[in-house]
Amino acid sequence: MTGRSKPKGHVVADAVAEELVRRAAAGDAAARRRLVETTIDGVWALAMRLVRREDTADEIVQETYARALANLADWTPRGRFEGYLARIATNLVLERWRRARPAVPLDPHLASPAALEPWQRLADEEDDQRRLAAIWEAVQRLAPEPRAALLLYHAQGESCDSIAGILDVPVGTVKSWLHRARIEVRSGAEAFLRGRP
Amino acid sequence: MTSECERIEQLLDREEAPALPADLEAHAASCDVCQLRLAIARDLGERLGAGALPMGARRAAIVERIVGAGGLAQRRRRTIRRVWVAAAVAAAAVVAAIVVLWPARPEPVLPTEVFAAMLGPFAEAPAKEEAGVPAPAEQTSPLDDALGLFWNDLEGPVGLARSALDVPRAAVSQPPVTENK
Repeated sequence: MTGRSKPKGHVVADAVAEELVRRAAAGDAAARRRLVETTIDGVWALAMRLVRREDTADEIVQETYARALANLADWTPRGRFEGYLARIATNLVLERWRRARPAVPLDPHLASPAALEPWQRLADEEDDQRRLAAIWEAVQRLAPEPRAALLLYHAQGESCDSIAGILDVPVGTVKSWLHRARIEVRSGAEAFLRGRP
Repeated sequence: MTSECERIEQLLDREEAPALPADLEAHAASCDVCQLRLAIARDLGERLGAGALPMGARRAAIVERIVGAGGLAQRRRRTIRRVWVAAAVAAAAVVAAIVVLWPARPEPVLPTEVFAAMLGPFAEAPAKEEAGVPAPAEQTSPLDDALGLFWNDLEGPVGLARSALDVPRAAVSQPPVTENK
């Protein structure tokens, strides 16, 4: 596998996180703040890679911490606190995707350079930008769970085991979703770029 | 579409980043369709997570919104506490209304009377009996009738519990027996 990287942001050492969570759950405001400060970059990066909109990512991050801090007693030291946050954030994104209306048919104008998101402009060549835009359009037309699996794997750099933990499904299901999603995205983007959406 | 195109597509279906044999490499170099397919597969694997996407200047504001005084977490906790308090008060009011109304009445207690007892001074005052004019006969609303039917038709464990409650109520509500001699 090439070009995949682990999520950015601080990683809180397990023992430190455990102590912080224990103090935060007891009502220590400083511990709550430190817990948020040390983990928020990772949650933000995850939210952005899933939704690719800053305002939506802001909402996801805030709601993630509101839920996590209100239920600190639910976190068990068996797993990493970042994993707990990732599960909450991903489930919040899934809830939004399930509520969203079905995607409209692919619009050729969406992939024009003027309509590109900032991250898609990172590619140097216009063809590369159009291809990234077409891939993103195809990704947005996937069903919520395969879409989450695909983005967690390819954009966030999580392993299949880790994704299974985040989505609370067997590893085999994650692999099946990934396989199907890759084929759908490839054929969708290809059809789009060849002018037959 | 050639057989080489199909072979490349099958490889891409099976593997995330397949290593192409020499004959397929040579074909892909001159085939636009295969070049596009391979480029999409490569972008999917390598570029979908592109960009550092830092939170930037909004980071401090978002942290403050989460944990600051009056932050989201505090508001959430206060809301949850208020909901629990309101639920406890409502439950206590229902219990109090049933306890007040239950033993003193020979006739069944209407569900709307329970709500009226809960509302207390906010409930509509009963019509006063004027001198020489008898009070109007008690009227039941369609809601009373419907709720009464529901209450009396309960079956199963809930119905058994209702019957068990009706027995002591009937005993308490029974007027004293007077002998006519």
